[in-house]
Amino acid sequence: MKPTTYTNDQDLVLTYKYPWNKITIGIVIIFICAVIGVAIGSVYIPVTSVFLILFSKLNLFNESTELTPAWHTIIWNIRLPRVVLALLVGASLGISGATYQGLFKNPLADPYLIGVASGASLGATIVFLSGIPFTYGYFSLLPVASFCGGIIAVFIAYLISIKSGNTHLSTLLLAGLAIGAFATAITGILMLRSDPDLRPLLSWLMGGFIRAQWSHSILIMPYMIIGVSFILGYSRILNTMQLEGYYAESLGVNIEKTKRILIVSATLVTAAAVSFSGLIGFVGLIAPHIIRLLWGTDYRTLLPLSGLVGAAFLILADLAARTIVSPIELPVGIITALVGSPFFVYVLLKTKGSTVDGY
Amino acid sequence: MVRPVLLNTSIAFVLMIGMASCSEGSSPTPKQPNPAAPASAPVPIKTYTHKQILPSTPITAPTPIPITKEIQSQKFPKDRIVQYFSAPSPPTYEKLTAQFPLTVIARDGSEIIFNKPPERIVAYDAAAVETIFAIGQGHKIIGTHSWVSHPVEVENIEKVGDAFNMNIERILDLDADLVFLFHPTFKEELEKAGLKVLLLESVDDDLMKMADTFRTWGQITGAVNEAEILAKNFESRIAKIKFILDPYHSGPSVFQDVGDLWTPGNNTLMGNVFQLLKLKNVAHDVDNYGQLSPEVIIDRNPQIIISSNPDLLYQNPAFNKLLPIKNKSIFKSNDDYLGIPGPRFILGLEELANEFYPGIFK
Repeated sequence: MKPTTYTNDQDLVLTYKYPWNKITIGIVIIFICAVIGVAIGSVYIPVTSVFLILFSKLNLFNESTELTPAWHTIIWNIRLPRVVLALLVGASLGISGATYQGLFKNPLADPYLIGVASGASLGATIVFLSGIPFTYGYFSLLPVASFCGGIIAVFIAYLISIKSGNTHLSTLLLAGLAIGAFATAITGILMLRSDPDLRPLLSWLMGGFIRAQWSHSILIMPYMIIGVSFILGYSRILNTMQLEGYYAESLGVNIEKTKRILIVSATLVTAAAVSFSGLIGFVGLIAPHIIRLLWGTDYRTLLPLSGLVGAAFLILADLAARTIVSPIELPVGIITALVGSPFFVYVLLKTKGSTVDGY
Repeated sequence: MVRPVLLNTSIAFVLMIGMASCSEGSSPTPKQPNPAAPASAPVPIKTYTHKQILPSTPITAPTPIPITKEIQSQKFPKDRIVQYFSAPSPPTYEKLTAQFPLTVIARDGSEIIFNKPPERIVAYDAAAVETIFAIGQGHKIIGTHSWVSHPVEVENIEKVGDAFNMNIERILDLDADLVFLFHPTFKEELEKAGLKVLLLESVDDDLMKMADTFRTWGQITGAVNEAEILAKNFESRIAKIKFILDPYHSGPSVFQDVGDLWTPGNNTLMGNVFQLLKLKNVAHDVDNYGQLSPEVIIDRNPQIIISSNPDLLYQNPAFNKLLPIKNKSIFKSNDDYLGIPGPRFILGLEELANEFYPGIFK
């Protein structure tokens, strides 16, 4: 009576080994990227001094006299918080991108899919143009507004998809697109009808880490940890969801509940990432595909590795953004698209034999 | 699927390009260098009267400047004063007459011929509106854009669009005989519609061109004498600043934040102002406007910071070792003056000079 179709999957479940070696390699690569990101910048600081400054907090060495306080500030208050924020945002976008792609079974899905980006932009624009002072000491209203905007947009899209009596994911997708287009239109109207200088708002919309501070990383950390742990916890079910609906149901998976949890988690992670760094495209789209092309579509491997690739990629992209035309900075989104797309095409050609499946 | 992002970024891009090209324009977008996040409390606007700018008597020479002890102590050679004052300013002031037909050279080098002064001007530029009002020809302006707010008479002038849009049909309906632009965006469309369009040379690379712009407006509107007074006034006040700062080699270093560390570099009006005031711009190797890397700012350690929204800088722990931030002495600039290269620009300039060289300018 044993249904033969299951044996394969059960074997898979039983024999699956968590990809600790790949994750370790990924973490080492990220560490190397982070060290490079801290060591290089538009102000030249000798590598030895960088390490002396980094370790000076441990009091291992006597601080030498050549370490100026300016360098200390540059390393500890500018480069390190920037690298850490880029790491967190990159990881968030990579993981949520992979989640959306799996959830919607769509290779073009990205973290901003169901209106997060447009909602967040609208929130930021409203706060920015309303004229209310958006900073109170160390507390800034801009990220809060963009976070709320993103969450509200997705929530409305979700309500619409429930109201339509059809919780099918394509309804949510379309509702999200509609809400997103609507929010984008309102953002456009607000921007055209206002007279203050739009440069700060525009550079937020373009995305970047120029404002990165330690407090930003600390603030987005809780959302990330909660969201990512939910997503990783459901990664096995995400695998079964790639099967036709009734297969997954017959495996005892509560599809609706899982979808809801995954959407909320991925949105939470995306909104948190967007709130301080602005809209950075391409990372969430290509990081999962690179892993998928190189190591297959098992979501238990795919999710954590997408996060690691996204983090490493964004650290290096930010490094390029702040050093290529030094002393000026470029929006990091330009770099991610400029470097990301050729690399993606390269991977696509390199792995010609394998197909991008598993949605 | 990626459409929302693409839409957003494309809007951002288009606007960004718009802003960037505006900053290259003859004058900044009406409020473009007004980095004032709406967040900041409205800057108290000094009420401006024509008297403040236009002296009642025609200028013959700059009023003799009392030499302060500081300058004397620097062993300032006295013969230079004579040499300085005799050359640039004419001893007597002759009455000028407007001459028509008049040929004005436009930004693209083409010649625009005026057979008679235009009577119905659409001035799509804050600086032009201010200039025309300052030379007493404000009644000829029949249209402008919605970001122009000075002088108060502008309230009654019809707004035919903003920096991004222009209602060309309405301009035709208004029967304008001259459309002045700050940026070439709508030039072709307007010319195709049969309107006379003027786009003057940019003043961004040279502060002194502002006086020429005043004179050009005088020639166009026929108010040559008023414009000459305005231009002379501007030139002599600049000359006074130059003269007083002449003995000094260089002043403090300066960083201007127009929002999110965007800063004016070379070939910008503000960059020129810093040069005139002998302030060392930390963004000296930046062309036009650019977003300066925060570590570069810390490394170059500006002694003066100008910003219209200081709170954002105060709250960033990375900057708290910089002197102006430690002392809470970021200078809040008056963008109504320095943002518009018009008659009030000199007021902003003098404000900066008084602020950064206290006691030298009397």
